[in-house]
Amino acid sequence: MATEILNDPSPALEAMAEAANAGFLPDFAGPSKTPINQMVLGFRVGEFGFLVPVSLHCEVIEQTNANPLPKVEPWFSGLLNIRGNIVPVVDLLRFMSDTDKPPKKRYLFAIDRAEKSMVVWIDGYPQMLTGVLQPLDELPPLPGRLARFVSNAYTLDGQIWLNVQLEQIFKTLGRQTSAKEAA
Amino acid sequence: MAIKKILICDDSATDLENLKHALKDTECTLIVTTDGDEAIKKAKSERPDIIFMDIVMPGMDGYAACRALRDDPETKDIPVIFVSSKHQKADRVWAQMQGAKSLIAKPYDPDEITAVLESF
Repeated sequence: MATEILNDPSPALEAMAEAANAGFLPDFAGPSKTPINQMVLGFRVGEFGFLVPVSLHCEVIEQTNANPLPKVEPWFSGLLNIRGNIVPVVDLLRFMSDTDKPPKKRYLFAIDRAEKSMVVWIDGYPQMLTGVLQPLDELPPLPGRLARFVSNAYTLDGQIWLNVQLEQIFKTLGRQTSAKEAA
Repeated sequence: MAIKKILICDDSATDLENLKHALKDTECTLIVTTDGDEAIKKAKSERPDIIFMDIVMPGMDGYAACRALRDDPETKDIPVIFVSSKHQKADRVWAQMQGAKSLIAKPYDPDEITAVLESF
């Protein structure tokens, strides 16, 4: 079964696109220039911090690798079996920067669950952000690929945290990957 | 602190029975729930002294429930002990970050449960 999956990524790619289309990451409520004064999850990838609504199921997965797939973009690390669900793993660092030197110590972070789940590589453990996240007037300089998915940015204790439409990123990546596979 | 009321939360009937068995000699009142949402509601209405909670459950899972309990002034001081088969190092660190006091790995010896109770 595992061999079939590795040789034919199509079902997983379709699942990735479907999960993205299903929409699993609610936007934070309120206008963009409103401080966030509630507990929020945050994870860091490279120099950027990403916010995740605290209501979502999230878990750190102690595994060093995803099961790789052939003929996919470098940012698509492969698939992971999480309690029977085959979940796509996305390397946001490679998506943002095309780097071929990711940090040695990274964790896999699953966001949401079952067929909606996505996994990303993150630097260090996620954080529980409990202070008041103050909105920035302007977005900081961002990689071109990432910028269009960032709705606003906040600062807390000197660190910048981005409210990123991860759902849209995954949707876009799923479409790109499906298109490449079809070609 | 004398533990008199214990809330247990697990979607598995077998695991709930195991927890009840482990707690049977404590003479504490047991409140039984089967998902995170229900556990939060009962924690608010019943004010247990401690919560033993599974992590992987349908509906609201243990992590999200623990975060919600920690974030609510009414329930933030109730100690949460995870009882789960997810017990790798990352799970333990993540559980602690959610505000859990401890994580007991399934399968467990009933003495582990009572030892936790005695520590409060």
